Amino acid sequence: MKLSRRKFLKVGGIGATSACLLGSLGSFKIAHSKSPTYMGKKKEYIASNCGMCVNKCGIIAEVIDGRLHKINPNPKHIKSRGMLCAKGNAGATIPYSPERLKRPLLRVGQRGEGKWKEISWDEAFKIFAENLAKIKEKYKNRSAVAFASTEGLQEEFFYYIVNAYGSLNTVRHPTLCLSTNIQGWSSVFGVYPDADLMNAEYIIMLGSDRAASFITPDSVDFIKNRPKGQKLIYLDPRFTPTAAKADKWYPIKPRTDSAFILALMHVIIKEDLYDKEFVEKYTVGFEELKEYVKDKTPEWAEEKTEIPAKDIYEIAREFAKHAPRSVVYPGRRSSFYVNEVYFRRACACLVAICGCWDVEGGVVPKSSIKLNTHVPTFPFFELAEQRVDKSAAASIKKVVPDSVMCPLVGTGLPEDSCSFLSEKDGSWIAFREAILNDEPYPVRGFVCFKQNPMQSVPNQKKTLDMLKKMEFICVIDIQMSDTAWFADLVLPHTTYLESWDPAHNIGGIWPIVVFRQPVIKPLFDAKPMFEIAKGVIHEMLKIPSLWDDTDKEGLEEFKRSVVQEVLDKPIEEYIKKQLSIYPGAFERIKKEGCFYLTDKGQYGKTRKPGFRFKTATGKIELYSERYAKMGLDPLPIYCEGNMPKEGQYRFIVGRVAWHTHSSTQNIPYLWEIQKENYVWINTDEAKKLGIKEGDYVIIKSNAGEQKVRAHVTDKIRQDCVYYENGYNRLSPQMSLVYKKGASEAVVLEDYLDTISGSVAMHETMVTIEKVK
Amino acid sequence: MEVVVDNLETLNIMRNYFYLFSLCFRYPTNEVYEILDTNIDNLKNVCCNHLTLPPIDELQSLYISLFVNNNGFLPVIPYLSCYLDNNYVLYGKSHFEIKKIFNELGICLKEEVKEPEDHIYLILEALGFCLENYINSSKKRYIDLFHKLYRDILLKVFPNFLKAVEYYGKNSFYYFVTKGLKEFLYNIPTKDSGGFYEVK
Repeated sequence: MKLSRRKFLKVGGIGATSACLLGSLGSFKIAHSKSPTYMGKKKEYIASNCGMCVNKCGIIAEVIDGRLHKINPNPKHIKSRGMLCAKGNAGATIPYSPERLKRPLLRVGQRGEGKWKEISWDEAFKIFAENLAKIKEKYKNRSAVAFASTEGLQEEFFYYIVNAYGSLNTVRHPTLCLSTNIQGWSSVFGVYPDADLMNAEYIIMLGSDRAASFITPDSVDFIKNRPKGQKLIYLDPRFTPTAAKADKWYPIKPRTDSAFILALMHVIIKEDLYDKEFVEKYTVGFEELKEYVKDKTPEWAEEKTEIPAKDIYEIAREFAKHAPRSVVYPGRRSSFYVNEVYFRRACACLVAICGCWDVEGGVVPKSSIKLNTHVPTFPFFELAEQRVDKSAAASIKKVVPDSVMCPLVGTGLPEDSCSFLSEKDGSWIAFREAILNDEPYPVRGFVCFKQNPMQSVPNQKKTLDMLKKMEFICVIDIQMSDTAWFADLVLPHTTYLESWDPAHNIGGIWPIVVFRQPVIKPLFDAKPMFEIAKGVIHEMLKIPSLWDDTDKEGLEEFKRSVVQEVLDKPIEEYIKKQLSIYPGAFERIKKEGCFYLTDKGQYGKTRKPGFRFKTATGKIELYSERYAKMGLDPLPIYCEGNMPKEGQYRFIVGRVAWHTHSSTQNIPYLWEIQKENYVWINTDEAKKLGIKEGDYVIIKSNAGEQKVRAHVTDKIRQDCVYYENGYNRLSPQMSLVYKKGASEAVVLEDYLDTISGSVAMHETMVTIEKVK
Repeated sequence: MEVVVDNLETLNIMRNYFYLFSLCFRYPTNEVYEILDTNIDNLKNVCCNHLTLPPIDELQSLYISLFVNNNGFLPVIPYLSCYLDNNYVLYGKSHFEIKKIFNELGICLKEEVKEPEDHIYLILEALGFCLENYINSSKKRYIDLFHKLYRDILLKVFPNFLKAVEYYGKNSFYYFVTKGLKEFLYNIPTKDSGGFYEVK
């Protein structure tokens, strides 16, 4: 159709004289001064801290005319050693993703149907608060709303909402990650320590893929110091980038890591290679440990681990020779087995008997820089029941089936409770199971801040079933995660580049303090959690029924200490107060990205006379008094585990350097590196099954199945298969990985380590079949 | 390149259509929806007689599913600089070109507007603004800037935008409106046809 002028006028029934259609809806105003428009006119370099993973590396944002052009590493940031990884670099594109969440969305169709309407923040706050009130009234229990969150500098303000509401049901990421590690090491030393990879001479790593996985300062130290003669022994069923850099790599038989460590201790004790003075002075339980490892010979361990006994002897002797500059790496690896805590305890005991503790080159307790922390006062509520994962015995039993625990005798694991649940962290698996069984009471509300349980918690079907039980789901995130896709209310959070984040003490051998400042103005209509908490709490205060089970004085104190003192003031004031102990620290962080009192490593504070370790005895506990009292085994015991049967493979997990769990797969620059995941299968096994590189296969467990392409390789044991996390997304708004590859969460079964409450990631057996 | 401007009547009509199309590609709040509802016959005139305005709830979720929750590998991105820069990120080079034109027009976004300047609804509104200011002031620079936005920005990207709407929004309100916008944009009358402008 061509519109001639005549026709144009004819169809233009809108009329030449009709009043301006827009009325007050006009989007423009007269500009009083010209804003910068030419690329390259005004350059700024702004220091802040990365938010692409948990490490908070130093960054210098290069901003041109208000647009973030590039992110550079910060050479003055002692923690990140002037390094910025692929994710940190790609972070520069996050604010500018057309797919990011832009405005509050309210579901108008069925859950998961993708039908939304935009609403204002005022409406969103009101809906949020009203739903909290509704659930509290209906169930007469504030804990009927569950709150999930993950580590981040704004998380403390999420907890302002949680505590203002009064639910005790909170769940965080550690039980999907390293809580067995924290529990195991803490049970021996009273704290969870760091490893001094900058100065260590001899390192044993079991499954912590330091050269890939999360790139942390440890990774940088490790890469830098390897050429200086540092020796690395690496154990992993996969040949990873760390294996490639190791002096020796052992594809250890999964679930036998403990046997290897116990055998090292056997040799070191039997050959008198341990640090007698240290053991005498600082530890308790050596004799019991010695007795326990007496028969844990390298020959015994060889049968279990498939690592030659002669190599175990050699490693033990070398480890002791280099002590105290020897390290069993305590850092990141998720929790693999249902008895993982005992393995972690064994690692800690090995470090302890060789005296590799709190010295340069050893394993070192974290130091910190004290902040002037604001202590908010929250009301005490009568209608708040105990957390569900603490008392749901029947539900917990369901996630520790005999087939995995077998033989139950001698495992030292509780069957109907989690021994050491963190008050805030809870146990994701026990928590979800209890909600699914309405045990001990119904939970019908779910508020989730930057966590994505649909992809991060094993057994996705159960997570979806849990969400289906909810009467209200609110997700706060920067992208439409798979969990957000099933929410009723979705609130857009600012990226880490657009807002102030409070000061945070990053403990470690080189402790520092950081905060974030906005490097660009917030785009669209996203808000930081500080503003969201303020909005929600103000709306909550308008609803009298939300405060009828607390005393008036407590409520007034809450209004003063939280609302007036913190939320109603600019966040910069909060940060300045945090740093008020150190004059000039605020300005220094603003300029240089971090603050520290010294750039020297902090060693030796626990070796000073009179120091008391945070254990029951005040000493390093090779034999745990607390465990004994709890009915757990006080020694780092080994027990046989579940092994794959004929035709089965153990499904193992791992991470790659360019992704953080399931949060970064939709970033184009990172997606370019790996567009979909492949299941690794050993070459000989693939041959048996008639599978060739690139073939589609079905991988199937008791939890679910996924279709994925095969990567045929010698870099994995014959009894294991593996693929990366974060693919085959359910949210169409994660468009680059929507229905691409395979999801870990679908296939992983939900087994539980009942000491720490952690998921056991390597207990799932699968079958594999080529797609015909 | 010279722009020759035609009569006031044509300009008024065009201005109003640019504003109306701008509202079509803006999130349909109650106020926006009301205006679309009042002008549905005017839209039918340039779009097609089959065009119907769905109930507001439906239109809102349709808008979000097409322009906010972008599905799949060829999403309907309403931000024109993504097409111009052939990139999947916002606030790229072309965004600044657009901002520069707005600067030359002497305008900027009101604080409450939370979209970037290159959103298609803002470009259409700015085109209407150019014409409105020309009508009121007869200053040629408004027509020059109109030309820049129209020819150098909107027409360049429109085929890709249209393709995405056709693919994802087949037979929806937005499908017919985008087709109508296409007819409108590609057939703005030239001086030869007794119309608005010509390019020399």
